[in-house]
Amino acid sequence: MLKKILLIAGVGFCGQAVAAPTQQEVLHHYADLAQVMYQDSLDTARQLQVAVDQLIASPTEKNLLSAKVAWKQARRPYQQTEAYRFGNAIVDDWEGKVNAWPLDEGLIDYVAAGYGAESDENPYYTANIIANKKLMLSGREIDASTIDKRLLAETLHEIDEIESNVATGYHAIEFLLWGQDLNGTGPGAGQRSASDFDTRNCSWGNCDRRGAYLKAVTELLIDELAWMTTQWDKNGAARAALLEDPRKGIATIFTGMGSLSYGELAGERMKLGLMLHDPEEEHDCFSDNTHWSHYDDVLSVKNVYTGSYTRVNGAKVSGPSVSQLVAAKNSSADKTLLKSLDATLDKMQVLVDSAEKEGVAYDELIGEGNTEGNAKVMAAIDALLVQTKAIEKAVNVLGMSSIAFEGSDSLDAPETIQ
Amino acid sequence: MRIQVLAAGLLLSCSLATPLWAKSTSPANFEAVADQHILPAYKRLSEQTEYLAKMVTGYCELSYTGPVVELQRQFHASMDAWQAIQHIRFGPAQFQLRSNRMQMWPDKRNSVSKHLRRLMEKQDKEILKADKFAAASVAVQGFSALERLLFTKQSKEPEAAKYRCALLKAITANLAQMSAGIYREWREGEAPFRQILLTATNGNDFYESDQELASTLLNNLHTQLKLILEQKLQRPLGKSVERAKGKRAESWRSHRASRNIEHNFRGLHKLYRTAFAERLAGHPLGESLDSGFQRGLEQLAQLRQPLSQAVADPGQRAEVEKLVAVVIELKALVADKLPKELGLSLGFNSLDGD
Repeated sequence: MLKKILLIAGVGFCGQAVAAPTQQEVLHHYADLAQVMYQDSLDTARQLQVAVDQLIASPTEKNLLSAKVAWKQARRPYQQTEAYRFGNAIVDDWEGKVNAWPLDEGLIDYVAAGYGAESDENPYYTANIIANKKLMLSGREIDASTIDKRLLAETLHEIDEIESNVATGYHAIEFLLWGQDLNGTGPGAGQRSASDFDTRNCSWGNCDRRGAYLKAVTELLIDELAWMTTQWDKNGAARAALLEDPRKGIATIFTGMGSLSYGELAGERMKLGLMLHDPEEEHDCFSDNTHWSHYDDVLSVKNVYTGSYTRVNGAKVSGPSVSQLVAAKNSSADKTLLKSLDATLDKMQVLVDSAEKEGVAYDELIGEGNTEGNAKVMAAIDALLVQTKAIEKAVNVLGMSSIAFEGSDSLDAPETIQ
Repeated sequence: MRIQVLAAGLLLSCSLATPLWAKSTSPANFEAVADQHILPAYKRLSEQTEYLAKMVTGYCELSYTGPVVELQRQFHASMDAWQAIQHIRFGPAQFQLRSNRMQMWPDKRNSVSKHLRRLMEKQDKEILKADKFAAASVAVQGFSALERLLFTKQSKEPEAAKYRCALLKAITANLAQMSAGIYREWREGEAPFRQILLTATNGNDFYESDQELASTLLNNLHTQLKLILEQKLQRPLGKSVERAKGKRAESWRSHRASRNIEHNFRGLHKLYRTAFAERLAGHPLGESLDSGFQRGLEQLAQLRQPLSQAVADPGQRAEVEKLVAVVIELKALVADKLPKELGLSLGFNSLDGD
């Protein structure tokens, strides 16, 4: 009853909400949501681990398929955390360990001849850890006789500061489960066979080492997700950093939303690939799961803006949000932003439907000469640009422009903070 | 003609004499940006690339394997013109993805090498037709691909050399066509972009208000400084002299990474001067910005080697690091002080991705 009256009163005042939450309440809930999302990511990664163990113990096509399904399920909650990445230094510094992309997969395992033998940027382009027990890296010999978490995380990952030397994370696992997608911008994903893990009937050699790699890299993912979940605990470092200065905390939320929408998703992950018509410029290129990755990124922005999230088990979580803060100051700016988020989700849904219902995957859509496909991807990019403008407006409404827009910048170059 | 020049001079001195508070209705001088900075720069780009395309045609008529020194010289002149206006990320340069097609850089995944190699192996002639080429991978369309063809050793094998010439012609004609298109669309057609700038005050199809347009200019100024700092300087520097990555420098094959930055500085300074300087007349921030650009140019002159080599040379590396410090300072002024002073918002940055 009381709620109803409040609502009516709110409308009476030209849409100015009466009971906006405090910044503190919004920040606490934002941190709570992060914890729940990373917990879901962790839980689904543990299910992936069960499937991976089963695959290694019994390398059948059925078990390989189960592992692939588990990987795809694990991706969904994780991608929905991505709006936390850019504003929060703790997340941004850590993110490369679990979601680095794109990768020169020749570092990890065998590749087809068309991959090429060398790269300007990367001397370890075809190092093939799985086939080589000894590696010459950075002018020293590395003992890779045992493939374990330490070798992957501490020695090989981003070795020589080369970002495409990705030895860990979701995409390394993806490569091990699917193998290279050799279909170019034509139909089909990677074609790895379960016998690649069969030590008795091994295809491509070193099946024991391939299994050891897959086991270690999956364990690492779980370690990392468990660590990140605790950073959002009541006494976690990520939560503490956020709450230090409430104004900066609110700006952080917007920095994450805007940077993910614009530079990262619209630019780096979508426009670049479209302009190159290059199937390797697809975020989940081995599994052809890119449509969901992109969709869930937009959902991530919506989650943090509206303070709501639907858990993997279907439970809904919601609470005080920055959307309410914006609406309290300027309800039309809030509505515009909400509308733009839904419009982008619609455009992303077109990409999802194309892959799931029409069987035309993202890498085919960006192919050279596929005018219709290119236009679908471009429409999603355009929607992201509109969304970015709406986020900028919301930031201005709250009078936080200077902190929010330089926020992600100061993460990379602390010298600029004066 | 003379009267016009005089009138322009009068206008300029009037606006300089106007106190800051009285100018609050116009957040930037759009007419000056268009007429004194953007249009002359695109005119120059258009002329240089047109000449480049003509020279390539002449070269290929004579021989497919002759010396390319003259072509290299004109490549440099065209690249100078492009670098002076690389920072404009709105309007006709954005239409049809032109900016990206002019130059694919940074190229963190080695796409230019990969796509160019594939193209030359296939010797696909169909794709070199103007309309098809404009829709091909951006990696083979512009300056980055051209630089590889002109500054790295090429096969003398007759078929390969013939195809290289056809590709040279396609790339340079494409560059000339895009540049001419950009310049034309700023001046002509149903809605010349110059006119869009001058009518932003009341809102138009592109900008809700002059505030939005002025913020876009500010954003472009900041984005380019970020590009210079992070991509053009810090990525090649790496974390230490042993880990220097010279080949991450822009245009390292033609040894012009620092020359690019020089033209960037000059272009950016011009953008700032034409758009915002009169609003900051007499303000210490205006002086800091002017001196920042000046120090940037002076520090660039301290580099005695190509940037790609300087980063790996202990002595020269220190000079590159000094340049980094200057750019950090300049970028901080543009990001923190300038928006507040102008009452503008910076907006998100297109380079915020990985």
